[in-house]
Amino acid sequence: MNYLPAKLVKLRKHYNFSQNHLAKVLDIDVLEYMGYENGRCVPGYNQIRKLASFYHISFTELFRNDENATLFNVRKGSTDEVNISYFLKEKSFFAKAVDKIRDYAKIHPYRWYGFLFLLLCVFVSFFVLLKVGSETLPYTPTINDTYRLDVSDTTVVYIDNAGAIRGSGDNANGQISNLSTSPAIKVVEGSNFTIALMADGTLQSYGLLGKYAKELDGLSNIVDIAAGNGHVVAVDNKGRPYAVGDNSFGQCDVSSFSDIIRVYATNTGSILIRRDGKAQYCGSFMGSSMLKNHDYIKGLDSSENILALIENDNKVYYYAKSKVFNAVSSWKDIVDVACGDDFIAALDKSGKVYIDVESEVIRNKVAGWENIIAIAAGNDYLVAFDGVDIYGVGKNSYHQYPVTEDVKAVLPTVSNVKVTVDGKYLSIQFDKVENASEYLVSIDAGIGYTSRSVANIIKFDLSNLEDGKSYRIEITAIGEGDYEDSNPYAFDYIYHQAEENNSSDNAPTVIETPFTIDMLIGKTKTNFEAYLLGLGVDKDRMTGIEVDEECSGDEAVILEVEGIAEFEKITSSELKEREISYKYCKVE
Amino acid sequence: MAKIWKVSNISEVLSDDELIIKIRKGEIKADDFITCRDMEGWITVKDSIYQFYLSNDALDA
Repeated sequence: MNYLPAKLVKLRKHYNFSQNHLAKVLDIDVLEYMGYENGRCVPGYNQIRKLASFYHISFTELFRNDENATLFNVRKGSTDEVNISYFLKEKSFFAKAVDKIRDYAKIHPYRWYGFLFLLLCVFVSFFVLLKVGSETLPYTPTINDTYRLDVSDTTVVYIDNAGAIRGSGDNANGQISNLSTSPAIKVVEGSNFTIALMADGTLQSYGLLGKYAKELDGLSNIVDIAAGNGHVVAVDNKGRPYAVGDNSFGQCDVSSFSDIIRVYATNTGSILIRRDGKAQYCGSFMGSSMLKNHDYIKGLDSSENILALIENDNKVYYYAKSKVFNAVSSWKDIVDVACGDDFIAALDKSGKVYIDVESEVIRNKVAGWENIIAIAAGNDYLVAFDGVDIYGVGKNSYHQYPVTEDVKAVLPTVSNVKVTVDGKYLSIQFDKVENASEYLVSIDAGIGYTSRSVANIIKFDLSNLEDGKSYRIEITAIGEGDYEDSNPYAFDYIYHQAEENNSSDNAPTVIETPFTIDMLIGKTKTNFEAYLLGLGVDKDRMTGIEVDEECSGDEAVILEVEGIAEFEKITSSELKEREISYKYCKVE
Repeated sequence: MAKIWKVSNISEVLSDDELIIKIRKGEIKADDFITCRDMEGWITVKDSIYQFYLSNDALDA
């Protein structure tokens, strides 16, 4: 069969050419061309070449006796007079690329199929990733050592170097029972519960959370958490915040916030940091209205009286009720902050802790801490964590932190005070106090006489004293090393100018200054007994009993005291009248 | 006329007219291969449009 006529018709009609036009192209009579199309005759070599060139197909394709004919796309509205090459010149880059690919596929079919398969794999992977990415962003929580410690007023929780959660202190609600040993990256403490952020982005809860525990357990891809007294705030890797628990102050109304990267909590509020660094909050708490002045808050803590935060410049800023903390502004490179009712503490990047507090004893103790990685504060105590051990200062009523340092013995108050007029001087003499380095005596004689002496007698110039006037005199024995200053011995003295009236009959009216009993529970037995004896308690009035409870350390520790109370205000004479009994643990 | 055609069983190169005459005479048979410079490889006469010039006997053979 001769396929050429049909092929020629197919080609011509595809491009909408007339037979006349083809005859002109071939430079032959139209009747001769019509003979090609109706099979009466066959074009010769030259005509075949012209036809192949005209239709932009190969000589072979036209010379081969089959139906195949390559047809090119043409624009709409083409006319007979337009040469195919016009269309071919207008072929788009993409169309030419497709031609080249098609030609390549014809020549190298296996390579072409292999390329197609590879392309398919790439597309599938892309769409899989797109689908996965649209639903779940990579889970990337922040790993920060300062997240490894938190406290309530009664309980301390921390994450050890293996990622396990540990706790000490009050456990009345099971908040530190059966804590996870799986890797946790952050732990927070409420008033009676503990929440842990695990390495896989889930949460684990302990203690008194009630119905909220299940809700928290259902969250996933969590990157940060915080806890107030009775509520928990969390944020996931898509910036969506969640809050459950006590909502008395609106502290759980976080649903309207978005694009959150970090969360903090006060006892009655929630603070959420947006990706642009702005702080948003809900609830009611000290300093809340000032948050708008701070961007990129990197750390925050609060108490009833203080709100302290770390800004992007790694310095501490605070808002406090009726108190000024002068030392805070000098702290630099701060990575963590903690505040109690009347103090602010901060941790710098070298592991050093600073504290602005009235007590010099506490300041000195804190200054001795080294290589600290996290700090946290309850209302009246501060703890620090170096990754292995917990250190603390302040109240320890629930044994939140171990007591490891020796407590200094307090010097007893001076006794047997005699005041006499010795010529031009007022002479004040008293019994020596053992282990006192010197004595400090003060008289409020208008300009405030104060004198120090290593001897147990001090003289004051009488010229500034007025006849018949009463003066308050205070005497303190000064300790050093292992001894603390005594409580001041204070009394009122009425000066009479006549010498005979300044005899020992003018006995000083003693006004005892009450002092505060120190923390007792948790002291070692040795320090406890030294402390009371130093306060002037008679040894015969102290009765100690060893109980069956085993001591956790190498020394016996006081478990219970009767006869006096911790932090009780009492005078020396009252204390000497007390019968004191105490129980201590057994050292194995 | 240019000599352009090669035939598998003929050593000389033929012009187009010479090829057609030989096909008509049966000197070049249906299964003989032919080629020219414009073609991609050889092709039998019966697979080309020049099968038109084969006699019915040659085609049936």
